[in-house]
Formats: sequence, C-alpha cells, structure tokens
Amino acid sequence: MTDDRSLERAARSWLDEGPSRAPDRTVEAALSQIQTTPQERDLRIPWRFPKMNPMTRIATALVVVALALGGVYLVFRPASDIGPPATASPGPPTIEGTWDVLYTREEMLAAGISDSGEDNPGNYGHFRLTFEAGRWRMIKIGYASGGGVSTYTAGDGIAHLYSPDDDVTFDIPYTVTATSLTFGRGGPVGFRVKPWTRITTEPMPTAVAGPLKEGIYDGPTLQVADIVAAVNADARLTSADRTQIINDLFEVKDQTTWSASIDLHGGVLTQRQAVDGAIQVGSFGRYAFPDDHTLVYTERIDNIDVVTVFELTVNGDSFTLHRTTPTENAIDEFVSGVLFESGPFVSR
Amino acid sequence: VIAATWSRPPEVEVDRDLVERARKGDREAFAVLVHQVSDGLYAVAWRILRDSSLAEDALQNALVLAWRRLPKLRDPDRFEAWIHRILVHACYDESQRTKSWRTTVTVLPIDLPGSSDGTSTIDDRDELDRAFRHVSIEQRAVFVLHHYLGLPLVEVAELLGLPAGTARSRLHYATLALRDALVAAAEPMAREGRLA
Repeated sequence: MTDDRSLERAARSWLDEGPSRAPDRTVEAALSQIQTTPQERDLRIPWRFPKMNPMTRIATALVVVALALGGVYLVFRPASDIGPPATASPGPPTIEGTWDVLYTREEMLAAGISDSGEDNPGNYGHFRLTFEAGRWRMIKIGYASGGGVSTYTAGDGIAHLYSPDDDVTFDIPYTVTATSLTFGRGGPVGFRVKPWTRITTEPMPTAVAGPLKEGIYDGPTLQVADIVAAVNADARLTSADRTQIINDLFEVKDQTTWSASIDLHGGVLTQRQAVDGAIQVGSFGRYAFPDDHTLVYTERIDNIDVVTVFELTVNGDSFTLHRTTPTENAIDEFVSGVLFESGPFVSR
Repeated sequence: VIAATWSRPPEVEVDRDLVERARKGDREAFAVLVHQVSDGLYAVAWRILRDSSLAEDALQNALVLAWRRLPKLRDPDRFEAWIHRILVHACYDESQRTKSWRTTVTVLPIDLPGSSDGTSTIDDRDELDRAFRHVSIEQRAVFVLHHYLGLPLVEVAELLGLPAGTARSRLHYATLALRDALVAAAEPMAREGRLA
C-alpha cells in the first residue's frame, strides 16, 4: 500500500474525492463585489519598470527646482564610486557588463507590444542594462527612478533573470559579441526591440560594512485608514496636499493596508512598498554608514546624486531611522516620515 | 451524477479575447471568464484547504484580486496559470487567517471513482485526510497542483514562482507525511493479521 505507485494512486483517488463545482453564492458574491471594485492601473513597461515612489517624486521635483535656480544641487559621492571605469573582461564575450539601447515608440510597437496599456512614453527611449557578479539591473536613462537590483544566471545562451516585482524568472535566449547583445523571445518585449551595445561605465557598488548586515528589513503593516487619519490630522497640509498624498504619492485610495521594507544588498538600498500585499519597488540607491549611527542614502536622479541622511538606531536585528536632512515642505516631511520613520524595520 | 459531483472539473479553454476585454475593464467579459474558471479554482482551493468555507473565501478573494490586477497580466495566454497562482496565495491567506482547521463532514458516495480498484479504502482516506491537515499549506499546494491538476513539477514551480528544487522538496515532504500516515494506518491491521 505504501510503495510509491500505490501511494500515488491512493493520493490521486483521495484527491478526486471532493467538490468540483463552485457554490453559486460564492461566484455571485465575487461578481457583485467586482461591480464596485476598480482595477489597478497598469503603469509598467515591458519589463516592469518600477513606478516612482513618493520619496523619489519629491526628490525629482526638488532636482528640477534646483536646476531651475541655477544648478544648485547636492553632491555626495561615496568613495566606492571613485576610480577608473570598468573595462570589458578579456576572453570570450559574456553577458557580463553594461549595455545600452535606444529605440523609438515605432520600433517598440513593431517588436510586438500587444496592447495600448504598454504603449506609453515610459516604455521607449534610452535604457541601460547591467549584468555583474550574478546581479542585474535595468534603468531608464534620464528617468527618475526604477531598476532595483536582482539576481541572474547565464550560460549556454540562456539568461535566467529573476524579476522580484513579478516574482518570476525569465529564461531569455541571447547571443553576445564583444560589442553587442541580442535577446530572443522569452522575456520582456523591451529586451528584444533592438540589439544592445556594450559600454564601459562605473561598476555596480559593492557590499558596505556597517552596523547592519545585508538583508531585507520589514517595517510594520499600517492600516491605510490610519495613514489617511494622520494626513487629515496634519495641520500643515492643505486640502490639495492631502489629496495628492493619498491619491498620487501613496496611491492607497480605497486600499486597506500598507507596509514598507528596506533591502540592503551589495551596496544598494532598495525600498519597496506593499499595498494590500501587492509589492512594488519604490526607489533604490547606494547606501553608506559613515559611522554606526548614520545611514546615508543616495539616489541618482537625472545624473544628480540626491542625498538623504538618517540617524540610525540599531537594536538587535531591527533598526529605526530618523531623517536629519531637512525636508523642503510639509508633503515631503509627511511622506518621508511614513516611508522611512515608521519603523522599526525588522530583519526578515 | 457521481462524475459530475466528484470528478475533476473539465479543462476549460479560456478565450484570449475575453481576457483582453476584461483587462481593459470589461466587467461582462470578466464575468464570463469567472464562470469558466470558478469550478476548477474552487476544486483546487478546497483540496488545499480541506474546508468548504475557507475555500469559498479563498475563491471569492482570488476572483476579486484577479479583477483588480488583471490590467497587469503580462501575457493573456497565461491567464489560467496566473489566476491559479492568485488562488494559491489566497489559500495561504485563508490558512493564516484561520489557524484552527474546522472539520468538514463529507458524505462520501458509495461507488467512488478510484476506490473500485481497491487502492483507497475508507481508512486510507481518513488517514490521508488527517495527515494532510498536518502538512504545511505551501506543501499542500504543490501536492494538489501536481497530483490533482496533473501539472509536471516544473510547471508547478513556474506557476508558484518557485525554484524547481523547492517545489520538489515541498512535494517530497508532503508525500512523506502522507506515506507515514498510511503506514501508521496499516500497522494495526498488520498486527491484527499476525495475531489471527
């Protein structure tokens, strides 16, 4: 009875015993609920370029203002950034390295974008793809944010790219030469619109030593109702500010729960948010610990380093942050507070 | 009648055009899809959760979440796999929400398909049922997708977004638990046999 084949038969027979029809009341209840449920907007591009998060939007706005005022901007460059650009490694060409592609809307459509939802300006233009030491990242040049770092393996002409936002691994065939990289089908459409060209650039940041070990740290789950109440209770915010925070910055209108996490890996801090369990990358940037009580977070936006300094308090496997970089306005302060100061962030 | 009540739901051919329309906000198209896939989804949820009430909640939540997220579905041809994945996660949520499993009394028909060959006795089924409740929800999901839907392990792994090794491991542990249960059920009978 308990050999493999018998067990399998018994298990299948046992699994067959059970209902195979959904109760009508359940289906009708779902359909009724759907009548009043809005769909989530699809803001992704073919490879799921992360949406800009509130922090980054604010930072972008600050950068634009700074440039308009005559190029007053923040500069902070960790020591790891300084040095000669990386060069292509000797030997047979590999996928490792940094690649650029530039294509138009027409070229993107010709490659087979299947619906109008992906036909938007975020999906064409100038992109940069980096493969280095088992990690890959893609960013859009000139775009304010996006492109968290994730893992990959490659060999035998197939690249296996893990996409944390989709939680899937793409298996994409490719051919590589010393100067170009061409993807086949099997992955995001944007990868195969045109061949990518190898460029030399700065290497990816490496792990940084400090009071926090690498890993993912989860913040507490907040009720959206509490966030809304806090927004409404903040007397510094105008009515328009409140609407902007709820609808546009946090995008939690009609949602229930919200949480943030901070991922420290390989010198990159990736900030993610989960709204009703749907996770998306918010922003990413380099991080450094000048001392055991300071975390410096540096986002690169439009080729400008935007620096935020936090006071860091480590308590075992968790930490809290307190922003010491001044904020520009009440919206900035509120949003930054929720994103980074709603801790403790606890090691996963 | 038995087949209609107890067998696997027939595989449905999901209409890509319906998925495309639903992605663009067409509720009527989505309702048609719901009617096409609900039976199969419920059957899977029930087998993972072994509880009608929890399975109903999981199905309802999965359908609503699928509607919300449908515009983000990358490939309409993968609708079925995608919605099964949402369902499995809804099952995880339900199992978290209700830690204590409620007992569902199921009246079994006398002439069950699969029992006629003698491979599954009432005792076996009871033991399997009890043992399955002690298997983790993640392991159950892999077990059901593999043995009930008949998906190869690589497809189970892909559907759940797991490395193939993880799916294999979960199936292995679920199988071990069920085998142990059957061995335990068989031992008293064997002892009785020896005594006789």
